[in-house]
Amino acid sequence: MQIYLPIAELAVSAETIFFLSGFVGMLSGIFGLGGGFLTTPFLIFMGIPPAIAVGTQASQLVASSVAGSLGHFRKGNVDLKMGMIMMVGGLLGSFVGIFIFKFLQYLGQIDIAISLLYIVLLGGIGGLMLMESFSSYFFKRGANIKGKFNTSQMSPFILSLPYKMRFPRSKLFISALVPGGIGFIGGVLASVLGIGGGFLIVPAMIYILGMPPILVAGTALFQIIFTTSSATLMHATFNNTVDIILALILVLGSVVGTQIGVAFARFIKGQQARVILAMIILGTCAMLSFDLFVPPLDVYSTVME
Amino acid sequence: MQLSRLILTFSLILLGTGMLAVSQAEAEEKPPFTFALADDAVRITTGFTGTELVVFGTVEEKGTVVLQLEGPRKTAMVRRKEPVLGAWMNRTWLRFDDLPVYYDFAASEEGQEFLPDMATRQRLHIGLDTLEHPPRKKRYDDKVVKEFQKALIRNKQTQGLYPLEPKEVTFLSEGFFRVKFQVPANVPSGEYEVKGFLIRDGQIIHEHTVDVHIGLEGFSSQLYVFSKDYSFFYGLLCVLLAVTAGWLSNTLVRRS
Repeated sequence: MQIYLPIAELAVSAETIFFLSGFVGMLSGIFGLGGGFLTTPFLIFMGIPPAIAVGTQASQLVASSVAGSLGHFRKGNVDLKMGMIMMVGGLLGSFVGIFIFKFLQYLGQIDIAISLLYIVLLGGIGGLMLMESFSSYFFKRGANIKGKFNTSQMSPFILSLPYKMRFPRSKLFISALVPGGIGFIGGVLASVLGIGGGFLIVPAMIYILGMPPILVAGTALFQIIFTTSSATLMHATFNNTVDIILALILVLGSVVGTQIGVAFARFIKGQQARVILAMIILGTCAMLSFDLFVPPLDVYSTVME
Repeated sequence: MQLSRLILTFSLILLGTGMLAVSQAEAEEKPPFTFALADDAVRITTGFTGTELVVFGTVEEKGTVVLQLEGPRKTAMVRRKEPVLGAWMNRTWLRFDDLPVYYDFAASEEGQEFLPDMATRQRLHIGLDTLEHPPRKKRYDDKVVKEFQKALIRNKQTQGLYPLEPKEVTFLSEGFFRVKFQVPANVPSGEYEVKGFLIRDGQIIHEHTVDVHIGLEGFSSQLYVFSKDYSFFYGLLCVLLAVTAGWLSNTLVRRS
């Protein structure tokens, strides 16, 4: 069924978008990742203008992060104080991100910037996943990484930062600038790329903050609600690039897909599945690179202002 | 008998002249070149996938009928990609003002011979080549500018917003014609015009213009207007909707 997107001002096939976000939702259900970094490139491949893909994807992530963090919240796995500090940084970051986005738009480089950043991002994540899968396949790792986390191992630079704060839930005494800074980067990513940035925030919270791993996912999702909400709001206000109809189809697809994924997760062997996911991510990266590095059919492009 | 015949003849003559007068009046009222749209507007709804804009018209005089469908005029930004470290980036650009966002035309004759001189055509924008006008700021030499002008029209043709070839003017009977314009799904909304010209010996004898509104209708339109005029509240609505959807999906899943 063709459906007209009022903000994007074009007609797309509703089923294709639904299945696409359902597929990404399924992957996020299986692997517990946000999936924003796959949906946006897929939307771009479908001919949705990159700016609208980013703005709309941010709003879809609001829905999935609310759903995800509610689950963690009920289990008590959210450090609210830490989340709030990260949120402040995140809101600032999303604001800065919108300015970067607008500036790139003004330069006429937004499309290539989005593509390039996604290539780096997907190449990095996919490559790391593949490497990790292979190395753990060939050398069965015995070392328990959990042993590493305690504040005494923090670098002197982080310990020297001012505005120290106590985070009772995480049992941490650390400068507010650190979680704020991590949130800030998440906020910039949300505005510029339409992703939650969990793949970056979660390791940062584990390795830099030294938070208890059980609190990390819930707290990260909690702050992603705010960065993506703020990104949605600002993309809608300053860019008019949030298409509510597209967002609704995406949300619907991802909700259904995630449930299927969660149900599937039990029957899937982690090792092989991770390799497949890495392949999907690297494939998307390759497709984006192809569009960027292969001479275009027409080197000229025209837009009406 | 004689008298009655005389009266009959006389009244017939009277009637005849009367009819003549009426038909003369009719002829005077009947415009030599006119047309109207089958629908007065193109409505873009949620299910819109493009449509046909049908024009019916009459022409009483000899000549070539030319009909144009023109969108609102805006500025076109043309960018040129060049490889930078292997990646194709937009490097050079030119702006062209006063270009229709959509343009299509139909003619009852093939070829170019019937068209008036370039100055007239340029004034009335008859023909795709009249859209090749100078950029806002001429920052490159003529050869480069020409490339940009050609690219602009080529890009718009690829987008389906400028025609690849003229549409047909079909004569259904003597002096009665029909034109079908194919409006694509990605047509930009706005106030359009159907401009018609009757051309004979390279001269424009008659002109006629009909306005046509191409725009979002119903729910789509309300959303569009809301998103532009109250963009902050539209954004808030998007966020609220997403939060509700997330909350709903979580509670539904928990229950089942």
